[in-house]
Amino acid sequence: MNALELKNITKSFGFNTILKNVSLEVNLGEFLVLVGPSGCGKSTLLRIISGLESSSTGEVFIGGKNITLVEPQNRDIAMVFQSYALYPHMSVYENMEFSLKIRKLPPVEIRNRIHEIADLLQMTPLLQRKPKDLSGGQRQRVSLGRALARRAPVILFDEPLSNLDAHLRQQMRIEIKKIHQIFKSTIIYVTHDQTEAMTMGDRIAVLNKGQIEQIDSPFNIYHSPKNIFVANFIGTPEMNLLNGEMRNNYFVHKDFDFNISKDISSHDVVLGIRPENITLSENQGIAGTVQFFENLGPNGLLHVHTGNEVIKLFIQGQNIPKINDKVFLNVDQSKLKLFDKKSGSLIQ
Amino acid sequence: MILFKKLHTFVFLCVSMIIFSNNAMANTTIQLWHQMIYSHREVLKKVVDDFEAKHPTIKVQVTYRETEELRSAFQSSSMGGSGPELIYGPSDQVGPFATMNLIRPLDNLIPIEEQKKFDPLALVKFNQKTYMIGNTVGNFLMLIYNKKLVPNPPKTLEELIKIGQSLTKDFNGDGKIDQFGFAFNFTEPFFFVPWIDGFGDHFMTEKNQPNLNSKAMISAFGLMRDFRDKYKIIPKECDYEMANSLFKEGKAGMIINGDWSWGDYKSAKIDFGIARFPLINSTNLWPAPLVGTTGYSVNANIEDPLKLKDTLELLNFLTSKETQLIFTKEVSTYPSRFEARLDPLVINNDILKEASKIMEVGKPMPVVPEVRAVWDSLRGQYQSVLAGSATPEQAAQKAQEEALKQIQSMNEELTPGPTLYLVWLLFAAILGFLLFYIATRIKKFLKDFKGANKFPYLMMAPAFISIFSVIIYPFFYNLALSFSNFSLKTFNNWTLIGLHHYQSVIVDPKFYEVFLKTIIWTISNVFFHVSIGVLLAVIIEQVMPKKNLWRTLLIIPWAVPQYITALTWRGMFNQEYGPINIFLQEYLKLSPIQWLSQPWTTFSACVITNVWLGFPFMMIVALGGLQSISPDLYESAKMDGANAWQRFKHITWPMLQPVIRPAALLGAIWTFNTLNVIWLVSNSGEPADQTHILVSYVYKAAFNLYRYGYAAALSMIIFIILIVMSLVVNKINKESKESNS
Repeated sequence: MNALELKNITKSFGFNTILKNVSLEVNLGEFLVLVGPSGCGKSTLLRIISGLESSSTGEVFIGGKNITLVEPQNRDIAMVFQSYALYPHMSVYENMEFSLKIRKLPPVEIRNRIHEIADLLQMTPLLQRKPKDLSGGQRQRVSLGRALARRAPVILFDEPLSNLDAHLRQQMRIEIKKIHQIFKSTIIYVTHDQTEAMTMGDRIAVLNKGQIEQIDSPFNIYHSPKNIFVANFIGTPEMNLLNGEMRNNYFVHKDFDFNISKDISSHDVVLGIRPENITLSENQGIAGTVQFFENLGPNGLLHVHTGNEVIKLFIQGQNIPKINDKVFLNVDQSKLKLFDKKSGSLIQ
Repeated sequence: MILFKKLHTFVFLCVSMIIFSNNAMANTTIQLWHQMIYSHREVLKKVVDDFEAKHPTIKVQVTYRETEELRSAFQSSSMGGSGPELIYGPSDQVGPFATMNLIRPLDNLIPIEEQKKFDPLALVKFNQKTYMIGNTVGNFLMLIYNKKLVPNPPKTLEELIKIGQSLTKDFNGDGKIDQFGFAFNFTEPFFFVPWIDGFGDHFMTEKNQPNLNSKAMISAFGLMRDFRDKYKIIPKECDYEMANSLFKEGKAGMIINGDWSWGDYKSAKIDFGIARFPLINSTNLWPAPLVGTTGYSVNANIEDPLKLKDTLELLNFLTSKETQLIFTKEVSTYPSRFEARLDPLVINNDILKEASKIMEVGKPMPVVPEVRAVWDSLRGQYQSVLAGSATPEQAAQKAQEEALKQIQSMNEELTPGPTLYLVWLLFAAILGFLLFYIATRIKKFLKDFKGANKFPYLMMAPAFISIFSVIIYPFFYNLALSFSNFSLKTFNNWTLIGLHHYQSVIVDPKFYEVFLKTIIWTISNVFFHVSIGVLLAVIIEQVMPKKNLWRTLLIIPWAVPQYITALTWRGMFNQEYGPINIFLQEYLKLSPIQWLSQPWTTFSACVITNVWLGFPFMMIVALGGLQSISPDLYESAKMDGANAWQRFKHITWPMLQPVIRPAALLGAIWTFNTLNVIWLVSNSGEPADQTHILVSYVYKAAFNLYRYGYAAALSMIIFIILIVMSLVVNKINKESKESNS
């Protein structure tokens, strides 16, 4: 049985359609990440699951039960907000206690649960403090703890880490993932940060303009993007996308061409190749001029100018070409992706 | 630079204007303060212009002031040794002014032969001396009848009752009277006292003492009650405005009202006639309306003989036959000079002719200050009779006792007592405090002022001066008054007497009764202000579409001037016609409540009115507070499983506390100190002074009964109560804040 199922969810505000016919199934205990650019509808989708927003059409099922018309307070879903939404007049303990008290759990049980979570999240010393006396990271922990203490079968995360600095964010990513492994709750996690999506999700659903472009494991999303949008959106730095056309097994670009031993029927194509799949070569391949070098620490990103395009590739080691040096680029044929220019979908 | 030049030009202009106007101006300037209504003011201006043309050396400055303001402004300016040379106002201000020596007797200034040319009603005497000359007589009550309904006015009481009964009708059979035979402001003693004379006695003796415990009084009490309960020819509850509008709408055949109302009825197109009060059959006597005058008095402070001469010149001109006739012609006043009454302008005026016949049976309006005490005690007891809580006999006896008691306390001249030493001790303590704690600061200030910070101090000076003059000085002046014998009799030579007034406040059981009422008043008001305010704010903020529209609509009660709201609510509480009772009867099938004639219902009416006036403030405060609560919190609470009530209880209410608490404390102080609503809705404490809170009680003591020292002591006590209250509330707030954090 699925933990959660969405059937044909559509949401419009006036003439503005935010979600178009979205269907989705989330397995029990799965960590699903909804990722997409701003305005793609991912937060709206999450709010429809939570019940804070109602869908225009479509249905929501939790554990096989249709809860489309059920009020949020009766859905038994926990949620972690981007702003943390801690109750400022209550202590950390009271914040965590609130939902349990509302649900009339026995006091002993409430105390045990809170202390268990507080130990886990290392916030026992904070229990008597008010939210205003906590740092951003601590507040995030409390907000997380509050959701966990509920032991709700489904926990929703609405961009929970976006207010934290890079270092904390990384820490919390790991922590949330660890907690998921302990509690095995079903988690739906919204983010616009594809690194977060890649590192945390069991599966990732990429949303664009109110539709799910692809839903798959992080590995597949990265290595087998279904279309140009997913290819471009996932991965830092993004995939190199080169416009060109196919002529007799040859990919012909304005400035260069090379043989692709694949039988392609399309004419206008976009060739996609990730930066790590391009290497520098001595004297053959695509010719270009070095434009810029980004030092990323363990490796570096070289920007190479080839006529009208800029191709990015990772390089390692000491021999870094200088700016304006002439270089040749070798493409790993087995890794390149071809997309139909018109439909944007993967050809091969 | 430019600014300086402009300033320079401005100063130059001002100075030259003063010099120029001084040169061009007359030798004497006479100030005249008056309270004439608009149409009369126009005539006065013409007359004064005429006077100035004839007397080029005299300049007259005319200033209009509303009656009560005229009274207080004249009082304070004359006490300070200045004030206008001439003051024009109603005759009843003569008593207090003469007692305080603010106006001078006119007998030495105007020869007796000249005085004899005036109607004695227009020569206002106090202690056998004339203090005011009226240029008109009037201000008296009469029977006014609608000729359409009453072709011939009733001559006798029997006729009045008969006509009244035949006209009092319920046209549509709904059990409510649609047309009354008779209507007047019968709960007000001024409208009641003429009847007493019809039964053979006057409410004051020749010696200006109260004469309330008389057989005539008992009969008159009975008659008023019978008009309402036995003959049923007047409405059950009827104040001035209601009687007036019934008559103007043709829904009342007869009314008792004064000459001032004629214009009103003319413009309402009522074909009316005037007549005497009806003859009382059993005694064969006419009820006697009080006839007053409005006239001129001369300031006691004029010392320059030339100025006095010019003032008298103006006084003579203003009361001359010619001037009186101009007023008669323009605004139909009845002249006070006998010779002016022979003029065709008067003789041919039917209304004035009838008016003079009515005045023949009138009695002069008493001018002694004691009359206030008489009105006051009469009002209370009279209303007890009407409310059914006292028999006429009991009420007459009690009214007399109370009047004597009030006159005694009004006139008591207290002498310094043994507690005076305590007062000096207190003053010494205050002085010591100032010396020890403020002296060092003053020293620092002086040093600072001489040094670099002169300019900032100068910039602060206006604020400091205004705070000093409107808060600090009045406070200490009030403190001094509270230890003094300041009253009507000791106006010019009051001294400190000690703690007398504090003692009398503390032993007075009435004080504790009023204090208890004040506490009930404050708590119930603040409770409803906060609960209704917060409820509406939550509904507007969280439920209603078009928030701004609702917010604006609900602020309206706050934006409307308080007195309009208070009087409107007073009308709504009317026993027969008030929408509130109509609602109770029609929709809830309850019996009507006599809102304004029973103590606790009147008190409730005041609370309801004040709740209506006060909730918008709390609503605005709560709306502000609500807007600062992040919507995320409600969403979070929803996700936590909280329903609407739990969200209110656990999120909204606790988060509103920081704004609601100070607002509620402020509201409590305002409510504790609010005078308007109690005063206007209960018509200054009706019934029988049962509806008072401390401030209205103080107000009454100070301004109705001239007991300034007593009132000052009482207000100091109120001040202390409020200080203690604020300290306690602050402490509670602080404690709960500390326990929260």
